[in-house]
Amino acid sequence: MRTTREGLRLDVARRRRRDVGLARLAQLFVERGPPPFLRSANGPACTATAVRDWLHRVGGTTRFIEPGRPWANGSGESFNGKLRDACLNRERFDTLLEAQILIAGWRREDNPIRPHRALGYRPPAPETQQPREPSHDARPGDRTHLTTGTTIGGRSFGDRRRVVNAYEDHAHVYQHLREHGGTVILRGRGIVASRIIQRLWEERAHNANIQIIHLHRSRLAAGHRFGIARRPVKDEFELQSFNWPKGCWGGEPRRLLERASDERRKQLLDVWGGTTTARRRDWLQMIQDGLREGWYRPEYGVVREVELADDGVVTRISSKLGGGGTLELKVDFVIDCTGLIAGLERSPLLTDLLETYQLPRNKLGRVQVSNDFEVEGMRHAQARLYAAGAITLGGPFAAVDSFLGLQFAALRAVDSIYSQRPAGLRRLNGLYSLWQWTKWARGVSP
Amino acid sequence: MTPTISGRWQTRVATLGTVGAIVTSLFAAGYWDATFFVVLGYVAAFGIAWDVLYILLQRLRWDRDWPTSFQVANGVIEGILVYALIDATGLPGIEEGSVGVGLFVAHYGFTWLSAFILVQGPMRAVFPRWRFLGGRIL
Repeated sequence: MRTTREGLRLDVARRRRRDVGLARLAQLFVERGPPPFLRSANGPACTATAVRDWLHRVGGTTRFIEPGRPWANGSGESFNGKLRDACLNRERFDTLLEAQILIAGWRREDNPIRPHRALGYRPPAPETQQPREPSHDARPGDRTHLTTGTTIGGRSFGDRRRVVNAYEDHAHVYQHLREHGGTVILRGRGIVASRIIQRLWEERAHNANIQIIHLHRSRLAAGHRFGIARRPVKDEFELQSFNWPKGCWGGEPRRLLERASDERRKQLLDVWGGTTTARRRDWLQMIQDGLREGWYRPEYGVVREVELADDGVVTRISSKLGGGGTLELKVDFVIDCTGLIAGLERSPLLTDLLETYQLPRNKLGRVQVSNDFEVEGMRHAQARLYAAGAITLGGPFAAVDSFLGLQFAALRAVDSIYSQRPAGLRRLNGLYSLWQWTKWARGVSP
Repeated sequence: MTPTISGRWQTRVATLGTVGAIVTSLFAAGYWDATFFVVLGYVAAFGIAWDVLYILLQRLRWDRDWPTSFQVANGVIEGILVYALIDATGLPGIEEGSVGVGLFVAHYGFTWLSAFILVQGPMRAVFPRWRFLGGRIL
């Protein structure tokens, strides 16, 4: 038999009265239908013959459990235990009225919120939370916005002097190169790689004996294709102004992604994203100069071995070009610009939230949100959890960790909250928005 | 701007219908001539057709955007076409050669400029969702 574990009534009185108890039961039967069984603590009020007779009249099949077997009433005893621990032992009741209000309040809050193991850690009756009295002071927990961002980290290497991560401090590399010159292997085709090349180019003004080997896995024949458009490629770099096509913020791509399935979203993000750099004339010129003057050259292959030598690093790559042999490169430094690893796993808050409430993840492993950016698994009556930022990547919007992306997610959440018609909230309209803008322009707080 | 086709249409009608109409009524009142409104109507109607071409060209762009310089170029091309048609063949409601080039440039220029300025900033404040909806208002 399935039980809902829901606490339907808690009556607080100085003494138990049979007729009042019956009236309460009758009301519950009307509201919820008569139950097949009625388990009771077998106290005097409940086992009274009158109650039994009455139950037989109103619900023909309702039966008592056998007297003297409290273990058969496990969920009821468990409920009593929780009531004692979470409410009675924490509160002090000075008056009967206070006890009635506090205990009734606990029951109302407990049903929609407290998860039950038997129900797969869901609350028994998330839909039964009573609408609150209209109030302008929002209570915490009603609507929560989760924008933690992801915790990111880079690859770490055994030796941090010769093999460095571009995202970590590696000023000693430039210091050394300025004084002694040398050769650097660069990995990665992103915007950080571009910036590192610029940094090395700056050092070349002090020491012309600095060489760059840009190591790629393979040649970049053509840029990503989307519809009839192709992302431009210049000297092995894919060029894109931002980390997504501009249309992802508000154009056709945005709408396309919003309407796509989870699987399709992953495909689209793969096409629009990837490793790109900005189309900066000076950066493009540096590469051109380096190729012409011979201090910059690309190599292609997969790294097989990185070995520290006394005065540098030996990198062996299996070259895909020219017969697939092994190429040995002896350099002074390796700078890795292949990016950061972002994920939810490093955040204790997020992992706890996802595991406790068994929240689904999207195809990119981030928090699954609706098109309104709601974490739907956390919905309890009026309470809603909305998310924004990098933790929602893979959802309805691509540029989630941009300022406009956060603004978009916030707008969607606010509109979604408004659609539930809570008291005291108006839709964000044009005049109000304009008024708020004038405040922003004048430097007045909203 | 990263407009969609419906966004282009809605933004065009909305800007020409508000600031465009205000500018036109000033000209119409000043010269006591309702032809300015007919011209505005043609600018809007031809513009809706132009938008279809623009959205196709936009598909060739990886970023699916329409830079400000393109918007300026659109304004010039559209103005030239409307004037050429009025001047060369006349359009229903406007007699051939009845609109002087100087007055057309002034009226069209102010109308276009006011709509352009509206799109560059104020629209975002008045319609906070507009930029995310590819220029749609509804």
